[in-house]
Amino acid sequence: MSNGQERWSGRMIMIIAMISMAVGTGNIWRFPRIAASQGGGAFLIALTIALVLWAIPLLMAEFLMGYRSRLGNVGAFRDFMGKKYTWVGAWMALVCIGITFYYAVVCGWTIRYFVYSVTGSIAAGVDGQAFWDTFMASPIETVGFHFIAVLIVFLVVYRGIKGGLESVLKVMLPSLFVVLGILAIRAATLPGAAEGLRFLFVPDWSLLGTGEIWLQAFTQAAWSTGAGWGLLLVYAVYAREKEDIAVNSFIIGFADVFVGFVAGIAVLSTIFAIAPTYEAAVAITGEGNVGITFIAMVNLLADMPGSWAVSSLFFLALSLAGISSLIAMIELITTNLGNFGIDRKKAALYGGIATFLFGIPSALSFNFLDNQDWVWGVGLLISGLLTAVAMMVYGVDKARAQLNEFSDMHVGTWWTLFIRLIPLMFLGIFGWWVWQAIGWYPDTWWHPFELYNVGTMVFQWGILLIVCLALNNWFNKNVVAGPMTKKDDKEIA
Amino acid sequence: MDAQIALWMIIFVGGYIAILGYFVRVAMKSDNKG
Repeated sequence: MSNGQERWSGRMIMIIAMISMAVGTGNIWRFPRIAASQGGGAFLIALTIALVLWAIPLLMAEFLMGYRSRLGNVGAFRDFMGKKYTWVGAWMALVCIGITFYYAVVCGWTIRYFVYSVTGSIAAGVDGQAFWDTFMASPIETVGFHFIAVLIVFLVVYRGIKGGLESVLKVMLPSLFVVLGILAIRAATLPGAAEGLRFLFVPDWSLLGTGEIWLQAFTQAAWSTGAGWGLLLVYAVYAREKEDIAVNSFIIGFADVFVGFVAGIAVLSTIFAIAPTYEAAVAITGEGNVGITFIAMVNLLADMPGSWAVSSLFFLALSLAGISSLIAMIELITTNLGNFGIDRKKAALYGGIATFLFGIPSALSFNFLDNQDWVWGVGLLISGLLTAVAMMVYGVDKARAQLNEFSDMHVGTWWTLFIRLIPLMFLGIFGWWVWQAIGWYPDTWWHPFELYNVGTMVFQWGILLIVCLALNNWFNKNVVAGPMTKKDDKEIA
Repeated sequence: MDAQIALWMIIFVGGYIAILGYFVRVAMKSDNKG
């Protein structure tokens, strides 16, 4: 019995849902600071190239896998790679689920700060650092808002594709665009904002020749668009028949990066307009995600004219972006559990409960959350590689022919070339992250319990890999058949 | 805002809007054909 009973009502709502999946907190708090530190317009050029070389080909591959198999990640990889490799789909799903647990905690933070804003707590004189420290030191608040985030998303996913996801996302995404647009216009028109726009858009050509800008661009393309996460695969399970894949994937990829542009205008304009000095503004762009968003931006927004409205809108935008992505993540759990014969509503409930319980350690310990972000964030790059491998095992030419069956644009051999190049791109990006991590912990790079080193990644991935391999036969016995499931996997060639 | 910033904003923001507009137009044309 296929889980693909529901279908998206139409192409536009499906695309809205898929863009909502891709647009997350990273578009608002990661993209602007990376762009600012990597040569602005030069980075945007590199990012656009990475979008076309890495992200869009993988989005198309994921879409194809969900659409044809009509099964979640586990079943899709079984049907595309054969029963010996069902575990690959489980690995991909579980990496994404690992992210879900702490992403819900982060959504809780954004909701908490939205409440702080609306209730007037973010006002002139606020000390952003002290504010953050107080919040982090309160388990009732961090766990409580984590629960609220999970509850909101559970209630959406529980209602299904049409009654839940469509109803909510068709309001959420346009609202996010409007709010970000208002923030961007407001911030860009402040005196001093132009320097922020310079950092974002004017190219520093000298950086285009460096390795780092390309590695940052490919990493951002991978993380921002959701390519290779497995989420688009799940949403594609519910695509209508004869749905175009290529044009839809281009729209999703470019829309995701474009949202980053708008958010970047809002964030960088605010930083350069309100920070006391140019040097202070530059220093802020060098902070991490939390440092910029929950400390620096709080200080800056509090000092802005109309601070109540602006801070409320900013944290509303963050909340909308986070929740819309979390919806996709809980849907991934729900769809995959449904493929094991579990009723959808029960599957959504189990997904919600698991996300809440397994997210508690991240809610209680920032270091733990940071470690999980590191391990599963880099793990996503491996998921991207595995998606390309699935295409190569299945047959890239066969896959391309299937992409062209109902495509609104001809998918040329560029797609097969780029898919075949993914392993090489992966080696470059992944190798760079490993090399950096060794540099951060030169003496203990191998230790399984450091925060951001190679050892902790290998240790946790290793456990996951062993579990997935051990359960491969069990997956094969228990995942339902879909329209492309063969009785004998030798037929897959 | 100086001319250099405005130029690059137009290139990137305008460029992405143009690309998105192109693909959305392709999609709508196809949907209208039925």
